[in-house]
Amino acid sequence: MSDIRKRCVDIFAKVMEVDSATINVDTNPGNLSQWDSLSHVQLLVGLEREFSIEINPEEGMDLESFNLVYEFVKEKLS
Amino acid sequence: MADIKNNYLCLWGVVEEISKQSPFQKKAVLRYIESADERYFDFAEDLVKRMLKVIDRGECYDYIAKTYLWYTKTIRIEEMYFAKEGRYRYSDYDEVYEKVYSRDDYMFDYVVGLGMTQIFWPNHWNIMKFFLDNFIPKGKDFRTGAEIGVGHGVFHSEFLRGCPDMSSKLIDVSPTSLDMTRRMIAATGLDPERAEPIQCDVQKYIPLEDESLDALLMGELIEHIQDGESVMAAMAKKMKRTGYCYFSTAANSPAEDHILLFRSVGEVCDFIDRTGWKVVDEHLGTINNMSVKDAEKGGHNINYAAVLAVK
Repeated sequence: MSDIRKRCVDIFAKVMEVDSATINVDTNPGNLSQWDSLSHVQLLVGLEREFSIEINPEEGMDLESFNLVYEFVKEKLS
Repeated sequence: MADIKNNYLCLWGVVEEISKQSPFQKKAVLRYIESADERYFDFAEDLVKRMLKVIDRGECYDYIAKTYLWYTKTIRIEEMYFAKEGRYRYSDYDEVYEKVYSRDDYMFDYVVGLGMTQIFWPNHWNIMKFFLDNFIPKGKDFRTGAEIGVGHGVFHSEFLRGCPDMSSKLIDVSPTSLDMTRRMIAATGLDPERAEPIQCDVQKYIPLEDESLDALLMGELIEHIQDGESVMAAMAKKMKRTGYCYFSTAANSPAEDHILLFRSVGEVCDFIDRTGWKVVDEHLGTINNMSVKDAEKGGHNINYAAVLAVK
């Protein structure tokens, strides 16, 4: 697993308070009960801090799967 | 779960559209209504029907869902700002007036979206129940009433419905809110002539005589006011000694037009006390049944509603 992906997984796991093994490319609010609109805000703030990036809230609110989040972070860092 | 699809058609129309448009809100709404009771479903169905009449665009469930989702998105955006900065984005009334209240089309969407939170946000439904069960029963002798900041008009409609001998004044800075409230009163089957609309900024002028009110509504108002303390103190003088006020606000509750920040229940209660009021009855609500202490420590939302009387 790439470093960026692992760090994203770890942030997810920490914010959602789940085992990191439950986070994968298909994870989305539909199959992770802890992922709701409130934890999503915490997730975005956590990603900003972890990667020292700035997430436009309008963009951030549309990141509705782990894969979208991961691709977004990768792009921000490239 | 109640058979919503067959028994509460209008509510289902909105829920179905929300579910199509947002996975987050689909989850939240379905999870909430799974354990809701008959009282909720009857009220929610009636509210959607009334809102459809007010909007007057036919069965516009997609529009209602879209505005509800847009409204919740604006909240989430401000929550992100609050989580990072530890304060509300705006502290100046003129900024939020220009951004929100002065724009009639924007305000229409805003109050429709806000209106739907009364049934899709558990804390807002609980506040509505507190209003209906703890404030309205005091109203059998109410003759003169007023509401500052009428919004979507649902509270005022229930106010008039529950206090049949009362005539009232609607005071709001937005002509859209005043118009919508009158339409909501009519949609509730009541005579809108009972409620006199007055477009006014209460921070500049209060169009009420001293000691004239049996009842006053100030729900979700004070956090929108820059000098909330002056307004709250001034409104205390408008009450008869025997009068009651329904008051609600929230701590740690960012929104695009919230400017007065309370960080704890204690701060709200001190504010009430300093401005000449006393609490007769109160209700607290937090997110996900968090304790108030944890909510205050973590900077999370706390809803506060109360029945007040003047000291």
